Amino acid sequence: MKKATKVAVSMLCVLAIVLLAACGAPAAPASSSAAAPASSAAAPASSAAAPAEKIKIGVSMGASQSTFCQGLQDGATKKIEALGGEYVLSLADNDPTRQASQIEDMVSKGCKAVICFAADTDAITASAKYCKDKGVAFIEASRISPDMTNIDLALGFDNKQQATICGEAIVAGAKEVGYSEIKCIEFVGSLTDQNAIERQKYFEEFAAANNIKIVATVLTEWDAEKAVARYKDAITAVNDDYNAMYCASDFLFTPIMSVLTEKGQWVKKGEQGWKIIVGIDGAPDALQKIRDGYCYMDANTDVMQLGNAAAEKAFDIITNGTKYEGDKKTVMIDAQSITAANASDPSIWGNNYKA
Amino acid sequence: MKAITSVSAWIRRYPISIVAIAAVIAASIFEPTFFTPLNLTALGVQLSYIGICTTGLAFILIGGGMDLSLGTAISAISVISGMQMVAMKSDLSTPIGVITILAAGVLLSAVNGYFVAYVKVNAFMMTLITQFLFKGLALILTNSNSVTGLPESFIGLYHITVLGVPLSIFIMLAFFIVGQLILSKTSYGRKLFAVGSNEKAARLVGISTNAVLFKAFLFGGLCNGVAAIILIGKLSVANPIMGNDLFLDIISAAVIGGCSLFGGKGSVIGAAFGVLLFGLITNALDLFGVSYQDQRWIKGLIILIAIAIDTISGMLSARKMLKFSSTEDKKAHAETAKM
Amino acid sequence: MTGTKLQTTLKSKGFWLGNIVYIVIVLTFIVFAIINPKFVSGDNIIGFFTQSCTTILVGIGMAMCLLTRGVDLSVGSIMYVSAVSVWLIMRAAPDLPIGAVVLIGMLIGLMIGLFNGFVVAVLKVYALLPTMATMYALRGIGLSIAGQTVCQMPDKWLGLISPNVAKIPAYVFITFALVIIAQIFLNRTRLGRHIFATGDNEKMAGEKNISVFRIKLFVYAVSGVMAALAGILSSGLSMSASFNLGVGFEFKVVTAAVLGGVSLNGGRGTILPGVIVGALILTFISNALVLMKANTYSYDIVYALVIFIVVLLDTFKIRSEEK
Repeated sequence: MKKATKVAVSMLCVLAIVLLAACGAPAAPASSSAAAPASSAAAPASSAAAPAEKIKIGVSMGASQSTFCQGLQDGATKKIEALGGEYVLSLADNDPTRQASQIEDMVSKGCKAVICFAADTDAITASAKYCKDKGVAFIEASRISPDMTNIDLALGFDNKQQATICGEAIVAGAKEVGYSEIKCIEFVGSLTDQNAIERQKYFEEFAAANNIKIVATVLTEWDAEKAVARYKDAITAVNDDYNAMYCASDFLFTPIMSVLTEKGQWVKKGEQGWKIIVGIDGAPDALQKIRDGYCYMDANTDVMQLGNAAAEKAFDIITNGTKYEGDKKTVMIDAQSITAANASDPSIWGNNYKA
Repeated sequence: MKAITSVSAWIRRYPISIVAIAAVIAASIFEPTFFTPLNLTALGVQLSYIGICTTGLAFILIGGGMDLSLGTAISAISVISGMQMVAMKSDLSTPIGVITILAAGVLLSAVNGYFVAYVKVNAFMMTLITQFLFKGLALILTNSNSVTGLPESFIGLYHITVLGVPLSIFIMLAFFIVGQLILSKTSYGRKLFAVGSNEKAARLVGISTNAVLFKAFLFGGLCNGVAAIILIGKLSVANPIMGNDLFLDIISAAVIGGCSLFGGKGSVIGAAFGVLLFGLITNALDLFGVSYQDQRWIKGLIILIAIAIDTISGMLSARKMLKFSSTEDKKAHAETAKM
Repeated sequence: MTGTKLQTTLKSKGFWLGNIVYIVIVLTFIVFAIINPKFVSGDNIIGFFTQSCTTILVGIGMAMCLLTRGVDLSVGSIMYVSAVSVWLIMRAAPDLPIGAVVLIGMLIGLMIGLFNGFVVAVLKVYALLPTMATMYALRGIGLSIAGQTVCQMPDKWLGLISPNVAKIPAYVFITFALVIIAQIFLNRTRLGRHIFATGDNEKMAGEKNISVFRIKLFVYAVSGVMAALAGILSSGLSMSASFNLGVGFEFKVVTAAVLGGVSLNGGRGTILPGVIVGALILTFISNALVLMKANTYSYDIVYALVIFIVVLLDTFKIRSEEK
């Protein structure tokens, strides 16, 4: 009786798992039959007219901790669907091993291309090679590996340009409100993220050349909670004597607002004790803070555009076999400076994004 | 006749094997991309490092211990040997790197083993502490960057195939077979079960319980070393956090496979099927396109169900023990219950 | 005579050796205060307490679970689920007052806690694995609730953390009030005594007609509610509920509890002063490390070493008691 019970319960679990998974599976046959009439109409354009099989593209998000990541993910997945493909989304929680396994599974599933936001840009080269060996295109989005040998294309933002326009904004802001000396707290992303490293490096270069004194550096590890705790520690370390903040990502505007509110120091430009706050990304809530006058400037990185471009290029490589070589493999997108003057511009991705 | 009774005996001893096989069949039917050489190979290799570590953890669990630091230990020994190989830059880098990583694995586990087995620190707490220690160690040594530039031949170990099947799968099977043999056929195995079930009683009959548990930790450390070699090959770099999230998968596989968290119960074969089932579920769910969120609660639920089954069968067997009138039946039943 | 008792204690070698960790920490504190007087300024001391509040809140529940020889590893995920739940509630019903939202969040934590308690009580396994499973599952459920990886809290949520009395935030007072209530509960009520009894010796407690089942349900429920509160507080402090909220927090809380004298084997420990001291020590260590400009990655190692010494000494104590 005991063993039979054991086996029976075990079978029930398997049944449950299979049923749950089967809920996900029918989506495939249903959507491919819907795609059939559409593809027959577009038949002259596509050569693969015979089976109504959608092109599968994997979107591998190595990290998910900010609106930046969410925007990139949405930009890629929505465009893939708009172009008539099917996406396979996986989240790796900053774990390079899991991301590698997930990409292997994407290839097994039949994806013809993988758009990747790497958890670790060094480790991801192994996955790029795996894809190349199996004939799958590999496109990097935003986080670009130093070793591009097996990567077909990389789309990213120019960190040096962003850091520079941030620095310029701080200088301009100081002039606007009459601060003679600039004491800046620098918020750094994560030491494993190439983007974060560059944003820090180029800002520090600019600061050294332009009389911005960096009084403290806060390592946030891209984590809001850690940012709050370490920011408070930094305030203590500098005796609350600072008047500017450089944020490697504007998701930090919110934790900063929280800490300053607690201290009664969250004020608008022109008021006593206002701090020049600049950031990078262009997320919706950050734009609101700029419109309200609390924060000064944001470097707009259009992640939706990047995601869209990645999806389009993926289709291009799959259907047309386009190859990129050497320098052309890396495509950099410039950021625009957003201040209170243009923060309501409807073309900015942050103003179109539903957070 | 004999074949049928031995198969049913097998099923009775390892009911998890039926579940695993049923899952394989179900996955193959519902998802055409599952039973392909491409996926099975990938899955097999994904299972290999988990399977080897689970063997080691099974030994530790059976002996009444615990090792929460497995995952971070793998990361730490990987970066240590990675840095050593990069610094060495000679033709012998790879074999020395292999020795380093295995030795480091055993050494780190020996630290755990010493304090748990000899000093008698609570195993949960001790390995919790070493979990943080190893994690910090790996990050500080590398400043959280991956160790790149590892010798091609070391990474190449991962890509070796025998008759088209990756070597790591064979190594995993070897560990399963050797592990099970040690547990069921050697005196050490018997001692390990005794120590895990009742340490005081084991000591009274003359077993040096400390040494037995310590050796289990050493074996676990060796397993970690081998798994680390495979992982480095998979990522082609030594990343300081690459093993940190493996612990949940490994302990779930061990418990699903019948290892009791209280010690004294379990088997490597059970653990092997636990590895297969758990790893297969991840792979199948990926292929089915089940979202990440749903995967998490499904897996969490499976772990809870596995524990429930384990507890229920434990309670039922205890009740049956009381029902038996003759000592003969009790003995015979105790034999099967030990598995 | 308390005078002579104090004298004998101070003279005994056992006292100094056994409490060496705390002594070292007090000494380090004094050294820092001398080097940098701002370290002991009102603002900074208040800062110690505000930064410890989330740890203390969760510690209340965790201590109770530890007292019964259990542990609740799912607290980090409960924090996340409660944070995204209140975010969703405020989105769906923007006119709901903050107090009501907080209550609903606590209710959700209560339900999760009851589930944990049920599993641990019925399945009779060491609470490690079921709560680990819950921890893993809940994070996915939280993401499903949120629908996105980062949720920004509405501006009115600032009302959680901004009220203060003489520059000390209200939530600090609330946390301490809860600590005091919890400790009185443990010391003075029958249920409190039963909790200790269960941890001491579960079988004997069962024989004395104590409903171990109900006790386990209770402590994990408390843990769930406390974790939910901590999650709500955390979401207020960072004004966001991101997917990383609470990851790894359970171990920090266990560390704080053990540092504060709560025994892993159950039956021994206090919330006041135990958990508070433990949490403050952890905050102090991280503050000190920042001021010393130590490598960020050394934090884990320092925590580990500090708690290692405490646990080691505790082990020796248990062994000598057994003899």
